Amino acid sequence: MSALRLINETSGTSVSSISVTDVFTSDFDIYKIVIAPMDINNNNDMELRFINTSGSVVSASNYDNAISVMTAYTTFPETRQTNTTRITGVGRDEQQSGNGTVMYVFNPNSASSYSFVIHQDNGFVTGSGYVGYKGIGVLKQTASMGGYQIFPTTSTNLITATTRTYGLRVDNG
Amino acid sequence: MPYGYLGQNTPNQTVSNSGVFSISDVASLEKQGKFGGSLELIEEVNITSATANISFTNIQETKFDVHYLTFNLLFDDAFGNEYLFYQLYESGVRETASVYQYAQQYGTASGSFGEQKSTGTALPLLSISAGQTTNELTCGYVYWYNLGNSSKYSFCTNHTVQYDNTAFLMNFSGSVLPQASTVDGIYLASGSGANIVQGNFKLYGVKQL
Repeated sequence: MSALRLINETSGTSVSSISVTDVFTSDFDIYKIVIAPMDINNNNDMELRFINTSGSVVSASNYDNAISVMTAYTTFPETRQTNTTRITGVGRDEQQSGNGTVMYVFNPNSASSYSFVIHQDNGFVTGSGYVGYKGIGVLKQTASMGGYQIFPTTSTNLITATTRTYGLRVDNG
Repeated sequence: MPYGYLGQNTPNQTVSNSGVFSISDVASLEKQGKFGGSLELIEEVNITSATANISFTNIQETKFDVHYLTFNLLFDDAFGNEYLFYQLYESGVRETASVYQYAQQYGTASGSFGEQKSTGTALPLLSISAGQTTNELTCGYVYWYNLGNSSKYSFCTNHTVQYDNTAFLMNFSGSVLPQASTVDGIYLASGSGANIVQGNFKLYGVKQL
């Protein structure tokens, strides 16, 4: 039996965002999130914001993130942001080709720690080819988070995706 | 009918419960993904003698959106410059044409970092090199996405470490078979034709509801 525990599976079809609430608790310190398949109806990155334990989406400028972008067709660029309103690039889609994301979230429910994210994901850029992201992100708030929201960079775009949230079991003794 | 009582300090009980779990409770809850582990071992391959390649041909692509492979291996040293690559079977036929795309970042403990990429290769990489002598295992993990989805491309990400003679290296990479097709098998081999002389490969399905 593996130490992963499936906590939640949420899907959305042609929606502006997908919110997953009440999944981060004191039961686990580390969570694994798998998003697949993931489609955006236009050229876009997928973004992430945390949802606090009151159910409010945290959109304050308290996020930092950085991505090593790997493309099959040109020199690898980098992207980074500080004090922004989201963790960017937790997915990518340009032609509804599928995509897949795995990320880990650390300490989201802790009221004494920032909430950290590492992710690896990929997509396909129309007319160019494969693109992969290896990234990190943090919400610089010492507050308890209960969930997360994913959404496309451009608010008028729509996503179709399934996101699954797992806890990494910790056994005492 | 309620399921067995879980006790306190247990994670996120999402169905009503009362009493202890029976065997039928467990079987029912496992089918719902609410009991037990969330990685399901599909197949394990152990290599103890020279083997040219490995094929997973029962990957349960209709059951899982996401597949996860862990591996460690040792190639023989007859060819040099060994590296691990994969190819996919589409409805039972292995795609061997130069239609895959990949991009990878690599780094060495004693040298430089760099990148490799291609928009048309038959050998999408899973390692930058590979160990050839005892104790120089190449180790890593791989995710494949949407293999069984005939309307989606088949994407892959991986992260690997390897010790090659005197160099310790890592790479993380991604790749795609940009064809909307049903993939029902995975092939692994050396890009230089070396044999795998030692190895362990575990292919899992990532559980979903």
